Amino acid sequence: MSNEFLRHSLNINRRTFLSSASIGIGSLALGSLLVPDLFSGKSDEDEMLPPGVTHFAPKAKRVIYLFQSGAPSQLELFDYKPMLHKMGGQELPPSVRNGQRLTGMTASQKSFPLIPSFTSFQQHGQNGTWLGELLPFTSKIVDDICIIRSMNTEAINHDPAVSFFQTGSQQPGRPSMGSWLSYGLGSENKNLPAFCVLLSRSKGDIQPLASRNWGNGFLDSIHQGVHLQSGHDPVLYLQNPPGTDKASRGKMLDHIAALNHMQEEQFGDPEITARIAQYEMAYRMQTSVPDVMNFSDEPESSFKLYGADSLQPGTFAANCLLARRLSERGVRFIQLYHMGWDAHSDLPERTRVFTKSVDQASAALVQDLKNRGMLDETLVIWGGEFGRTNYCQGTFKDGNYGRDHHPRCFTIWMAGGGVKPGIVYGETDELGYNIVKDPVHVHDFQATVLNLFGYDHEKLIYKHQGRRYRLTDVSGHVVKGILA
Amino acid sequence: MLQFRRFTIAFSSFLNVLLLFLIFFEDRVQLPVLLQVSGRMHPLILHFPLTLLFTAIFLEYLSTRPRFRHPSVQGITWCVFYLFALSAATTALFGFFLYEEGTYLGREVTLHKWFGVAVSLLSVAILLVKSRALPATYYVTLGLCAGSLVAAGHFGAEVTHGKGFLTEPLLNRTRTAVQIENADSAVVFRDVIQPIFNEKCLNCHNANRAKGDLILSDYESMMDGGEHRDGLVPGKAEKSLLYKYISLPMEDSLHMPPKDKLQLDREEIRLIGWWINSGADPNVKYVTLPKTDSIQPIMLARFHPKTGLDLLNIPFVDYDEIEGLNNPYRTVQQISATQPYVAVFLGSKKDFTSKDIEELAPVSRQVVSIDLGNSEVKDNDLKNLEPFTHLQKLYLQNTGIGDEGVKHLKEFKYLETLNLSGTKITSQTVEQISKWKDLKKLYLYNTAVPETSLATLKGSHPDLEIFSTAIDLSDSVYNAALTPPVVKIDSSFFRNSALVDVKLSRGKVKYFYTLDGKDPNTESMVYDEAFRIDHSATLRIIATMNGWKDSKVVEFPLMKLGKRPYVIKLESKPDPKHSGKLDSALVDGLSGGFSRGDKEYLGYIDNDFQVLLDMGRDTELSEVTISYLEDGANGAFAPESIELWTGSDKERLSMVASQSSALPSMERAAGKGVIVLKFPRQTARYIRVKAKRFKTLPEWNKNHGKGKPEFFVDEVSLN
Repeated sequence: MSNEFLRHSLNINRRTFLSSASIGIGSLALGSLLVPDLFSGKSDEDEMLPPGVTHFAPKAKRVIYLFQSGAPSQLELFDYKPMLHKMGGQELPPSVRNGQRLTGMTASQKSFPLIPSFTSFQQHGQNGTWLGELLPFTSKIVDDICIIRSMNTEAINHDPAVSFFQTGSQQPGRPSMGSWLSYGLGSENKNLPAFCVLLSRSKGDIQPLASRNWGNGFLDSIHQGVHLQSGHDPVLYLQNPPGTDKASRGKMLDHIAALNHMQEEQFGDPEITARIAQYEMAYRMQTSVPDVMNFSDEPESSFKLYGADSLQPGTFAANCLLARRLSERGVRFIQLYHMGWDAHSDLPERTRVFTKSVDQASAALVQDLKNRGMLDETLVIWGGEFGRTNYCQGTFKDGNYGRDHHPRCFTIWMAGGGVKPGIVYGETDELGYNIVKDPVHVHDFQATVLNLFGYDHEKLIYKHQGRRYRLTDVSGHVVKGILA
Repeated sequence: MLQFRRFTIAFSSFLNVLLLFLIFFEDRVQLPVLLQVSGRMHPLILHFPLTLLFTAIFLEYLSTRPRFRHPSVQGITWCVFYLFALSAATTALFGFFLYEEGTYLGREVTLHKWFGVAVSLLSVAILLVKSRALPATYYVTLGLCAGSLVAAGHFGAEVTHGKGFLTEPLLNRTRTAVQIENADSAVVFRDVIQPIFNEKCLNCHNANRAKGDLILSDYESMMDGGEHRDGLVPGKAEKSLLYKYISLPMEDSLHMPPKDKLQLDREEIRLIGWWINSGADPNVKYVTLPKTDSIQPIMLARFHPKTGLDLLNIPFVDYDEIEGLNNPYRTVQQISATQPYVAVFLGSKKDFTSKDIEELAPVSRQVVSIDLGNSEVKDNDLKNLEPFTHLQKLYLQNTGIGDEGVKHLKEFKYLETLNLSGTKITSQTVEQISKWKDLKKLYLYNTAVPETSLATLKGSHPDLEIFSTAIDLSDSVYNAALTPPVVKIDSSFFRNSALVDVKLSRGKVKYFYTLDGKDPNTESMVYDEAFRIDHSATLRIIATMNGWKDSKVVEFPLMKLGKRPYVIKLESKPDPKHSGKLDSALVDGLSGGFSRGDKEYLGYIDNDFQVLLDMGRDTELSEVTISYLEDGANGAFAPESIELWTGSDKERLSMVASQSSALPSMERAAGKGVIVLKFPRQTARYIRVKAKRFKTLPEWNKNHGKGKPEFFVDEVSLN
């Protein structure tokens, strides 16, 4: 921030200084107060690196984050618990739960019967990793991914949990992970936003997702995630209105920029600079976005790889394919959300339908990146905001059941971008309730992602309202065990 | 006051004599436990003499000023000196007790001890000379005392905080990892084990402060093994106390390092254990270790050998200069703060000119990565890459580059990654590349390079990773059906016409539809753009594409709202729970939702549906449409049969149309349906609609055999 003040004070030349002499002396004094580091030779900004320059050599350049919003059940997909079959129907021992708070949805339940998974598990890959039968495609790429079975979070409900994952804080208002990386790394391709967001959802009652999850918080608004729509107009209001040609639009933007520059010289508000940059980028995006969205150069084999859904814009599979195209063009952070996993009831059916809609495309994305030589530098992350309980929500009837939110343990996987492939990290207890080995807290996860990008998570900071903020707030350790 | 003075001098003298006595018989002293505790209070109380002496000196200075020349100031000065003498003697004595525990050794400790004793003795001397001797003697004594105190304090700090603690920030020494030019010359003990001890153990186990008599600063002292002599038993980690203590759980009181200190991580513990087990040899070299050992990768990660480009010591380029090379179509960034290397992104660049690369000349030595992917780079442009001799990664994917272009690429000594996927290269390029020796990764996905030349390349370059996987389409899952069409209809009940808009797929997906209730196929009508429908019908649409299975059929009932009847008479009563708006629901033009609870429906659960519509006068009609809900899971279906009776006299109506339908053979998602009954155009005043429900629920329904099918109707339209 003080940088902007400094720049502003440099903008005051002799003439303006003399013309506003009455307040000139005062503002000069104020200026030196506001920029105390001006003469000290050392400042916070000394430690701040220019965009793109990381603290140490980075392994990853780009992220594709396949966020499974609503929380898929780890017990059906990733975390094999034969003990649940033996103890199915019995009460969850209180010593296991150990007084952990539950959501309002099951807290009043009198009984907590353990419920075995309806799916069967098989071993896959060179290390014989156990995976649920609903993941036939993910099973094929198991040697390329790193499965973390010991994720845990502090939040207990969807919105705070998603915010926690994305911004490092359960309370809204902090910048999203993509914004942090955009702030740190800058954009590679300046004709596309550094941070893009793609949404897909299924029909029915679905937990909503607030757009602040890809918001820039207190960072410059240029770091905000840009939501690409699946319809006719991918970026709303980007195309020229009917009757306006590109040349005259360009001319108009030049004049707006000139006016904005005048304002910026006068006030030095960084938002004006951000606005100028955004207008310029939007103008260039008028060609670059249609280019990304034009799938006619995509061979049919791509669609076959990602599955039939990838032909239909707006589906998870289509978004995965689009994510690959964006990543190919240098977009730093591509955030996908697939909404609706929240299975409080009808878990088997919902899990079946949802897994079918994401399994092939997720695996295809990893395979496709690998084929194209991009997996080394592209980090793929797959996972929800928390896990699901090992006990039944409501009553078990006709093979139908539900599982409540479970923050104590859940599974995510990562691939490429400097993550060790083909391993399973962490372990949960026999009942899949608590972590017994190598816990990975959300802040640890975030610290690790920043580490892969060459950042020390304790040093990628932004000073705001008198406090230095970071993505990992005040904690987080890099999980060295998953670094290749 | 006098009494206090006497007491102080006497008591401090006693303490000093005791101190000298103890120091003299140092080796024979056996400390009781209680005194050990007081010894440990040394670091606490040492601050008193320090502060008191300088306070006294300050007061002494004050009293020379005319304003403060007052007996009370002198009284206070005396008082402070008394307290100083007492505290100095006590501190020195306590210090000795701590020293006697034997954990602190070395030159600094000895110096600290003697300076401390000096301070204690001089503190009494000051009291004795202050009023009696010449001022010069007094000031010399005072100066000596202050000097000794500073010296004692300094050496004391070096003992606790380590040597050079004070000057460390000035000298700006940072702990750097041992620079090894090459992993081959690395010595396991020197380059891996000792650095771990240096970082995490040396604070307490150094030559000055050997806690438990254990010194870990060098190999010989380490092998002495501390007070029990079994800190390190070569070949037997489990018998070595050192390994035992570091591998104890955190909660154990014997766990090392102590709880509040920097902990060893799992890998470090493993490395130490492994090293002891392997014989604790100080000279074993990394290269001689068996390559299959699982310890290998852990150890390798701990070396920071300089290899490849790092050996050239390429200079850093100024950030501003790098920034100046950036423009909206070219991103140039230094990769990290620790290395001078620069990455260039020119991906997706249209209208590529040779300048785009030429302008990078100022950083040609630093550039290690150039991304030209998806750009319009031409074969000739690659000539300009020649000055970038340090290239490690070159991305040319999805460009028009062909064999001619690759010919311009000479062998880059450091090139590790070359991405040519999606380019026009052929086996010629592969032949050229086969002459390059240092390439590690080659991407040839989606190119016309034949398998045979790949096999040759693999043979000559066993370490080269080639990525060329074509996707295996034989897998049955790739024949999955297309996604059902996504259709938007502005209004399913319409007055004039409804707009049908299909969200188009990517690729070559085609849509076919019917309006006559038949299953659509590739012979049916083709959808190519949004169109309008101006009559009641069921739109049935599929997506098809060559090589793919057709999608499921999607149905959309469409109803044209027509003439309004004058009177509506429900001749059979709907279920009281489902009779929301009664008769008006049938002609209000509002469509019900997908749930039986919707108030737009009249629900017939026990009765069959029968309604009489009175147009008020003879009206021309040719079509009647009925809209209903199908929610099979909850028992709502189309009627088994429906009959239409018309006439001008309501007692003598004749049947003009009828239609029957079948129960769906399997469960379907809840949806709506329309039944269109057409008949020859005629004039009529009365229309009676009779709908008969099915008798039994289909087998797949959960209430099969118990409940009965229901009929939920929301609209009847006359045209």
